[in-house]
Amino acid sequence: MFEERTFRFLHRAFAALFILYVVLPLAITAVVAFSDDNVVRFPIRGFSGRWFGVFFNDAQWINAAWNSLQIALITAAMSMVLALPASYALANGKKARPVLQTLLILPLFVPGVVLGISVAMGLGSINLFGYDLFGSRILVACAHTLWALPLAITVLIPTFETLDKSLMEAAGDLGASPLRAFFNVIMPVAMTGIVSAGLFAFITSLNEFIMALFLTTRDTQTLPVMLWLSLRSSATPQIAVASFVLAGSVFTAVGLAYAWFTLSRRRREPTAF
Amino acid sequence: MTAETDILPTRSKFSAALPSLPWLIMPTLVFIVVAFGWPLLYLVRMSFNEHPAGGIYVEAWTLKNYLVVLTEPNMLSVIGKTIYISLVTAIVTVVAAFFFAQYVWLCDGHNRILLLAIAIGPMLISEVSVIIGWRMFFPSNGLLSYTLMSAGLTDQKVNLLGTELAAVVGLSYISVSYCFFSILSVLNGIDRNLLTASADLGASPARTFFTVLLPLAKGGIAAAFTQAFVFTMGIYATTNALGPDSLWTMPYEIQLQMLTRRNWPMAAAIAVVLIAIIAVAAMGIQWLRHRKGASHV
Repeated sequence: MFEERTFRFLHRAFAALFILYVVLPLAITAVVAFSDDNVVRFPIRGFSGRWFGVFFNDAQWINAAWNSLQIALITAAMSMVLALPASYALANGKKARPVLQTLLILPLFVPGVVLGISVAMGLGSINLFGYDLFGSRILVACAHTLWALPLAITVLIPTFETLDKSLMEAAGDLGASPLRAFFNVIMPVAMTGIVSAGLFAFITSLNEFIMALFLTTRDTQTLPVMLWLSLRSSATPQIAVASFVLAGSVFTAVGLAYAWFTLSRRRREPTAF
Repeated sequence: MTAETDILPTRSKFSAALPSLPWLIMPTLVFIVVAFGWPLLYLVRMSFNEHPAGGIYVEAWTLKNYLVVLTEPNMLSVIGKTIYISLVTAIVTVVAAFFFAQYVWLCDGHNRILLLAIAIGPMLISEVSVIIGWRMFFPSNGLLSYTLMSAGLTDQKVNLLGTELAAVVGLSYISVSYCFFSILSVLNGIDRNLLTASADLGASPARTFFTVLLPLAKGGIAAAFTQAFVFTMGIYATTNALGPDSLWTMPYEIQLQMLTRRNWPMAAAIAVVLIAIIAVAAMGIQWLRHRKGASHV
C-alpha cells in the first residue's frame, strides 16, 4: 500500500500542510511582533523592536507578566508537593488504585470555565486571617493545580512504576529511613520524570487564562488574561509582542529543561550506564 | 549512616512504612476534595437558587433555572450549537491528527523526532496566543488575504474572520496534539507487516486502509474523538474570538451569566448541564475502550 507513488505524494503534501498549520500562528506572531507599523497589516512595512520597547515600559503588562510567573511557580511547587507522594503511593500500591487514579485525573476533563466559576463561587468568599482569598495569587494557583496535578501524576506514575523496586529495599536494608531513601535513591533516578512533570505543571499554569479570568482582579491579572481582555481593543503589534513574550517564556522553560536533560545524561553516561 | 548491625530493625521499620503508603496520598485527596469537590458541590447547590432582580442570588430550592436551560428555545439552540461545533471540530481534528500520526508512524530516523516536536507544539502554546495568531491570518488585512491577492487568485480582500471555518481551525488547534498522541500510541502497537501483507495479497491501498488499518486503529480514533469533543465543548474564547457572532456556545453563555448578568444560579445550572453532556461523552469513551480491548492487541 505505502509503495504507491500517488499515495505517498498525497500523504507528504498533507504532512507539509499540517506542519504549516502548526507553525503558522506562531510564525505570524513572531513576524508581526517585530513590525515597525502602527497597525497589524500585511505586507509588513519594515522591522524594528520598538513595540518590544513599548511593551517592556508598560507597567501594567510587566505586572501581569510577573503575576503569571509567580502563579506558575506556585502551581508547579504545589503540584509537585502533592503529586510526588501520591504518584509514589499509587505506583506501589494496588488496592483502590484505579478508583483513586480516576478521581485525581478527573479535574482535567472539567472545562476551565466550569472550574473557574465553581472555585470563584465556592471558595471566593472565604477570608483567611483578614486576607481575601478571591483575587489572590494562591487561589488562582490552586485552580491551576486542578489541571497541573493530573498532568504531573500522569507523568510521574509511569516513572515510579519503571523504577527497580529493589533499589528502595536495598536502601532500607542499608539503614535509610523511607524518607531518606526517597530523597537519596529514588529522586536522583526519577529526576527526568520529576522535571518533566514540574515543567508540565508550570507551562499549564502559565498558559491558562479562563479560570484566571474568573479569579483575578486588576492587580493580580495574568499575562494571558490581559491578552484576552485587550484582544479587541488593541490593533497595534503590541499584542503580538505580548503573545510572543508568553510563547517565548514557555519555549525558554522547555529549552532549559531540555538543556538540563542533555547535561545530566552526558554527566551520567560515562559512570552509571 | 547506620552500622551494619542495625539491618534487621531497620528492615522491619522499612516494611512498617509500606502500610502507611495510603498516608502519602492523603494530602492530595484533601486538596482535591477542598479545591474540586467542594466547589463543584457548591455549584450544584447554586443552580437551585433564585436570581433576584438587581442581586446575585437568594437561597432557594427551585428547578426554574433548569427549566429555562432545558426548555427555552434560545438555550436549546445554544446547546445545539455547542454540540454541533464540537462534533465538527472533533471530526476535523481526528482526521488531521490521524493522517499526520500515520505519516509519523511510517517515518523512520531523525525526521521522526522533528515531526514529534512539531506535533507537540500546539500543546505548548496558550489558547490566547493561538487566537491572536489566527486573528492576524484570517481578516481582510491579514496574511491570508494578502497571500491570495499577491498570488492573483483574487482581486478583492478576503475576510474569513468570524466564520465557522476560522472557528474550527482555531478550535482543532487546541486538541490536535492530544488526538495525535492518542492515535500514534495505538498505531505504534500495530505490526506494519500487516499492511505489506495486505498489499501483497492484492488489496488496493484504499481497501487496505479501510479493512486493515482503520479497524486496528479504531480504539485510538475513538479515544481521540472523544478527547477532542470533550475539550471543545468547554471552550469559548476561540469560538468567540474567531467564529461568527451567531455561534453562541454554552461556555460563552456561562461566562456571560456569571460576569455580565451576575446571574450565578443560571450560570451554575448551565455549567451542570454542560458537565452532564461531557460526562455522557466520557462514558462513551469508556464503553468504546472496552470494545477496543476486545478487538485490538
